[in-house]
Amino acid sequence: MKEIAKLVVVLALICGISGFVLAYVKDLTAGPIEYAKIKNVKEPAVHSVLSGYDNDPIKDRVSFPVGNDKYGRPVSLVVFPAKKDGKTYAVAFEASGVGYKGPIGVMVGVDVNDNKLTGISVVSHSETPGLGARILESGFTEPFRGQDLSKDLTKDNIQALSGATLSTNGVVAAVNAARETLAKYRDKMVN
Amino acid sequence: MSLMKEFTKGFWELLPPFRLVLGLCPTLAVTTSAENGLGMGLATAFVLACSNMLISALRKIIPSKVRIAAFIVVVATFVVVVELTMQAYFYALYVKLGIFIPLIVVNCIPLGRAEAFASSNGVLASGADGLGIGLGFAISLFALGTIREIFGAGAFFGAHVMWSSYEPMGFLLKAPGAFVCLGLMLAAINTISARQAKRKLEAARLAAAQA
Amino acid sequence: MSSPLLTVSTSPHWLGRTTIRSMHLEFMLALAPALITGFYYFGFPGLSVVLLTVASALVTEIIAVRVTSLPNRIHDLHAVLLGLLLGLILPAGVPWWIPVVGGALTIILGKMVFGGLGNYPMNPVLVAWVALSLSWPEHMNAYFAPVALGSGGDFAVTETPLMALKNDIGSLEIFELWDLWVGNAPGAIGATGSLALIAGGLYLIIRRLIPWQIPVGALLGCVLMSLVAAYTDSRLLEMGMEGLAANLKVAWFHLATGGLMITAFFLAPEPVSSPVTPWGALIFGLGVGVMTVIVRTWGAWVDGAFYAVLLLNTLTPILDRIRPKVLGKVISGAV
Repeated sequence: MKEIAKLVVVLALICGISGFVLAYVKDLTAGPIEYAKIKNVKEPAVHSVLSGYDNDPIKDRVSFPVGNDKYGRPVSLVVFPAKKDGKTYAVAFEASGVGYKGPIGVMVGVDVNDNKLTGISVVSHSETPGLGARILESGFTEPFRGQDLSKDLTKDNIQALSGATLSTNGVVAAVNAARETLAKYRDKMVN
Repeated sequence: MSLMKEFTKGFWELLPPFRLVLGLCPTLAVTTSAENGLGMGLATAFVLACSNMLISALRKIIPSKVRIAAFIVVVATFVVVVELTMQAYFYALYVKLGIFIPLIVVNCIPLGRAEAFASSNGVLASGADGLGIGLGFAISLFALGTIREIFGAGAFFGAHVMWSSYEPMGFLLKAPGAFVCLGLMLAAINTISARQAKRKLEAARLAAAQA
Repeated sequence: MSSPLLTVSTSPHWLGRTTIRSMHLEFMLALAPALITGFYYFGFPGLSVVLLTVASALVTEIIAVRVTSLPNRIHDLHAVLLGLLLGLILPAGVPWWIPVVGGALTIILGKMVFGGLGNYPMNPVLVAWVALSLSWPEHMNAYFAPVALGSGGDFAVTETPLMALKNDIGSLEIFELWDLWVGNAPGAIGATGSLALIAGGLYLIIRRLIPWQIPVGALLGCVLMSLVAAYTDSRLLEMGMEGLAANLKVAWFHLATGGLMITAFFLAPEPVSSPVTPWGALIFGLGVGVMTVIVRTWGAWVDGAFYAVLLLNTLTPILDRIRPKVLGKVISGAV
């Protein structure tokens, strides 16, 4: 009886200490891991829609709550500001629209002074390869640069993809969603 | 003096993938480049050195009936620490090594050294043993990764090293290439040690004849 | 170990004239028709590939016995035979260094690391072929369309009958069966001339250098499996091919194309890596034929003959356990 008690106590102690150590390390590395993930996953997209900044948009990112999703969980928006001499002149953030086969995530870069697009980049989609997936090509995303975001964008402003109307609409819808987000949270983005 | 011996035996006498023939799963799977091999090897070396020292320190407390469970918990703790650290500071390498980092837990080397050495030796000796074996493992994986990367991709640490018209031997980067490379290195190491043993035997015979 | 000067054993003594060298010479003689066919259709590009593999294999073996302590058995001509076989299964359009690397791989990876002739578990030629195919697939598919010697045409890379079959089953009707049998089809240098290979193979069987069970089993397995594949293929029905005669056409096609003939007569019955007992050899041959057609019909690769041999090579130790019953029996209790 005494022996079993000893086995249980020692093993429980080892496991317990291990649990504490892991919780501590997890807590310690949570920040750097989030940074590393965002840097590796989002940086290429941010880099392609913003230019001319002298800060680290990933490091200076701001996030704020923007309501709840359909399960009632809070959703937060992450905004990557591009700064020059400490002043934010453009922001990049993700918006989404519905394409042919599901949501299309688009990283949208906007100049906050004149409300013009500095570029877009599709970060996630499930469109048909060779057809809808051509939204990834620079020939499609390039005409978005310089478009005015004071009013809703339509298909006529850019070069729609032939045979992939729904995918084109999805991207345009994402950009228009970004326009609304910007109008609503401009103060929080540019501080 | 003997501490040094515990440390250096991992480089030749007990070289893990070639002498102990342990830890072959990561050896075959991740050594597609020098960088991957070195990263995997160093991660294992860190886990091995730390777990060996801790297990050695706890060897009097751990009852022998639950020792395997206790060893595994200790090893697993260090592996998760390595995994989280790698994810935070070496994200690209972490993505490449993928599942093989958590699999260090079930890799036979840490448990094998804990059972064979750390559970019956002092803390310093166990640390030296773990570090030596771990570094031996890292060197082996680095060598294998280097050979496969240079001939299979024409590059070393991602930088092009072969002449411009060299067409990489893609076979070496695939699974059969890993087996073939490992086999050839194993054969070479066995040949060298067989020659060493023969030389030693002849020297002993000569000494006996002179005496 | 030094061999004894005099071996004493009980009579009767009979000194055979067959040596390893003479056996290999006869193998090469049997390969001559295939080499001539290859030279006729693929000209000097084809011939130079074969010569390069032979030279490379020979030089590699000379170097290998120099740097290791293995006995020097270059005079048994095994390296020449291996080089010749590898050259015959390469496409004629490969760059010059493929046969050089291939010859070296045959000797080093296939033969010498296991201890030389008699010790390797798999056919060295096919080991090298697989390594080359996995490394440089684009070069290893550089098959030339045949140009008869003296007709003055230019060589051009084209797709082989098996590649065409993989893309579109309708190509069964494009190729003339007779062309496939005489070797007038795109393919490896020495593997297209099925009739020439059969002639060489029959010589080997008559001289009892290979057991007849392996080639017969391979061809039989190929025909049977082709019939199964044809009967279960609904696309053939759509083409209007129905009944035994039409399905046999699929079988003839599989027999005559790709690497099956050279595999059945030369690569599968390789003396070291194939089973020695009659029943083992027959099962081995059947396995090669069946696997070939399975890979060709449902697999990812175009031709399965070479992979089939490697797979069956690994089963050789098991097949060798099928032994004839030993005469007499052990009476329990008697010592």
